[in-house]
Amino acid sequence: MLASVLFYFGAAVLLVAAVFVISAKSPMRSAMALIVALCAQAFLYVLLDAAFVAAMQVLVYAGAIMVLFTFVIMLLNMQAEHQTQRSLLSFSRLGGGIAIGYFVWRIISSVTHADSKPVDGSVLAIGKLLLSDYLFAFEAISIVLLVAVIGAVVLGLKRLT
Amino acid sequence: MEALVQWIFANVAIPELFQPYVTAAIIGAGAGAIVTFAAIYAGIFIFFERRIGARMMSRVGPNRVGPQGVLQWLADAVKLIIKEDIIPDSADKPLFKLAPYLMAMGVFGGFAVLPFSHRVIGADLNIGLLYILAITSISVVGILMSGWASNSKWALFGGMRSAAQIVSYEIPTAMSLLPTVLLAGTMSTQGIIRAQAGEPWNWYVFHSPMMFILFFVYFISALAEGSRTPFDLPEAESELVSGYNTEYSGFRFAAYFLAEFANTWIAAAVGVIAFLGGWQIPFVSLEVLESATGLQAVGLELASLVVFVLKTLVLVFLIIQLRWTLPRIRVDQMMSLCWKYLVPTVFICTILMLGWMIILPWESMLALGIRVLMFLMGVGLLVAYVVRIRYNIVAAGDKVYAKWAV
Amino acid sequence: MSDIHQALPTQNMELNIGPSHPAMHGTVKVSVELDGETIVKSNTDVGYLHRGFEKMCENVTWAQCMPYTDRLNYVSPLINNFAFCQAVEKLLGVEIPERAKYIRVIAAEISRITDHMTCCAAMGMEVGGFTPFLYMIEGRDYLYDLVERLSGARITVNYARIGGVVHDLPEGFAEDCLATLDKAFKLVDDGDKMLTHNRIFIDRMNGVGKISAADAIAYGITGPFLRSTGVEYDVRKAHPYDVYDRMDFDIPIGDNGDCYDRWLVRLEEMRQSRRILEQALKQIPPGTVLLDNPHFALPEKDQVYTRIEGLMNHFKLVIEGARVNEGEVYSFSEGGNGELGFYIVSDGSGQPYKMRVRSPCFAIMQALDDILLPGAMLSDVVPIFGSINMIGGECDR
Repeated sequence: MLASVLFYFGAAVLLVAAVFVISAKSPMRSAMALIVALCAQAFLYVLLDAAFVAAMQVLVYAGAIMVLFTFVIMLLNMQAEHQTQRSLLSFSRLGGGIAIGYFVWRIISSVTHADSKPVDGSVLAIGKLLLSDYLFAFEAISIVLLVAVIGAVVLGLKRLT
Repeated sequence: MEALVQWIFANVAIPELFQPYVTAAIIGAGAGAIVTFAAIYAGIFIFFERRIGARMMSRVGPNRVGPQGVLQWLADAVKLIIKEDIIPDSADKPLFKLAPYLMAMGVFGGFAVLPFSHRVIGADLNIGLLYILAITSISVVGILMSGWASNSKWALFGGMRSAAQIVSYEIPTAMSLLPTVLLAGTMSTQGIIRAQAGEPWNWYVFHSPMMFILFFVYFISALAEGSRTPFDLPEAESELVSGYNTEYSGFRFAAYFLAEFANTWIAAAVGVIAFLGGWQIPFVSLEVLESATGLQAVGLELASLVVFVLKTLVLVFLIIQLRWTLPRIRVDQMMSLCWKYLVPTVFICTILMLGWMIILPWESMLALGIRVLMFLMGVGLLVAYVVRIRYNIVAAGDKVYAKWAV
Repeated sequence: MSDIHQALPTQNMELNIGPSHPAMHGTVKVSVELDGETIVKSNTDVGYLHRGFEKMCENVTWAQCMPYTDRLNYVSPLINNFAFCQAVEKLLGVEIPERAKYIRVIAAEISRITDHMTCCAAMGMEVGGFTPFLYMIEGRDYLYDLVERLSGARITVNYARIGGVVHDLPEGFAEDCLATLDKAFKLVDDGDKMLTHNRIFIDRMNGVGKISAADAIAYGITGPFLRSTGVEYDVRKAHPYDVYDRMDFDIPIGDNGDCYDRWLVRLEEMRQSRRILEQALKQIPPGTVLLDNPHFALPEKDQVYTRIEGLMNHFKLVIEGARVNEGEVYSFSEGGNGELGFYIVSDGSGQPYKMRVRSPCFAIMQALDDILLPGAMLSDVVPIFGSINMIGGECDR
């Protein structure tokens, strides 16, 4: 009972914030709404007993990636957009429609095929999974990140030389 | 908190229907108590910071409101509340208003998993340390937001510096806590403290030379994360006026400062939990603590509370002392300190720690011997520190009222 | 691949530091153009404290100029007093009594210490060390107490007179002075210990605001700032005035010409000033402190009240001013920040015909935009500016 009240509350916050992300004119407000949405999502993870995922969500997405987003917005001094570019509008409508359709289909199929089993969301379980079943993916991602770091250093250094 | 709820349900007859609501009410009350503690701590911290700072600078400091000025922080708070809340005309108003609360949320949220004694803790999450790191990273967003929303160049510079600083120093902070997690095998704050039970040389700081170094790395990066001197460059008053909070006034300004001062407790308490044995009373084993009943249990509980608070306050005092001793570092030096010195140090120490843990298991006699040696060295350092402070107080002569210290 | 070698299109940011900013002592505005936190261009704007000192002096008698000089470098007002008197005395061609010379040396050296103490304290504070700032300011206040005993005021001293000083040293001044110096230098040592070997302080100061000796000379920079670049020029040694030729003291010089050298030079100069003070207090001979010359010195009060000659002389001196020979003169002495010069033209009347002050920190401020600031970081503005010891009253006059 209480859990469902909390779930609907979190979900409502998530939806409202998500709508605000795409409807806000100022990029900074949009970024802030995204942070709220990410935090609401973390809250939903907590309700699912996936505390580790929730903490990572806040630490990585809300705390680090969004800081970089806002950094970029501040550095580029982006102002509020007053008119949308007509030529891109039809493409974005099409893309948005496909995305919404896909997600609706996923949600319906996950509700109708209720064969999903509960997963242990503790640090221990996730650690075991990462170092056994998903070891290759885990290492591959680290290499990709390493490449990204080196690329960032190269891009940053070129102005000095 | 969980234990308290279970205890209430076991002892008081509450209908099944209301149990979730009672749980929610208890959690709410607990959260309120924690935030109140954090706010009051921040207030008292301001008083101590000002008085200790005044003594170190051979001034008197606030001594008018209440005996020896102990109520000064209340007067300050009342002043700030009744001040006009000015929002610059060209500011982004909703973001400007929201920013201080995000910052306060990030800091006060951290208190939830901090233990105070053997049984008193908001929530003993199994991701305790990670939760603290995550929730405090929210406050960066608040700082950035205030820097941007103020529409002032000083605030913008302060916000940028602060964000760069906190994002960078999050890495050494988190990495320096990692060996602790490895040693304890858990991220739960209570679990980490439990693993350091018994004699003081079981504290993780004395585990090995690497842990000793990591403690200082943690302390330095925690200072940087809390924007305390020598890393107070986001609000460098001599260059950036006041940094990201330049345009704030009234209670919003107070919210920033409450958050910042409350953060000193988090920085110190996490250091105590991860390295200095938390609430472990020296030479009292965990079994004694767990199995005690009645009056003995209450006494031990109080003792553990006192031990934890004392240890934390010692670190807090160190933070204050550094604030009034050191000059401020420059922004590029701050970055090079983090990336060129602290991060490599942390990585090397972590890798060495892994080897150490394999070669010298916790139970082996050699490891115990090293721990005792490290402990003696730590005591020696502490004694040297105290002797030095006493020397300085004596040298200051009649300027210091603290006769008891001489 | 080719486009990553192209620089990102970025815009510089303009930032106005001052005229009212915590780092700007006095009022001065520095507009800097920033690329990130690095200064590309700067534009210093002085003159916010211009009170027309030179013009004011042309409308009052010679004696009435004296209080105005207090307000030039208000951290070391006694030196300004003496420098002005020295110029007028040079024009008059008079030699002041021996004891007055010693008193001038003593008072000037006390002022020099207060000046350097303020600068060192401010340098500490600019980089965030508030404690050493208060230590040194406390030390400065002890010395101001001394100045107060000497002249009756802490800042607006008005102590010198044409032909000497207004009155003799107070009773027991020598012992007081030495005791106060002990107290003050203990605090200087505290500040020295806290900062000089502090790694953070060295990092903030070393190599910041560097200037070469040739550039410094080209810009007309003098004083501790010039000496920090390695040029051994001190007016007290190069062109001794008063009794500096009888004093045994050294001129500290630096070799990099950066903020850290300026800090060290100033610290050492304070100690040298203390040496001068100790010698001067030992050597000081008895005698009068003011020339008894009716052309510019006011008569004794009992003469004014009882004799018509005294009354008339007093009236003439107060209303018309001292008769100073026709002619022009440039006289200079070592102020807190460097060579403090007075260029005076007299038409023989009781008022200066033209007065011009060569203020040491005005010359240093010129180098700010060309050499000191470009390439520095935003955070370096404060230590650089602090090491100049720009005093609004002196720079803007």
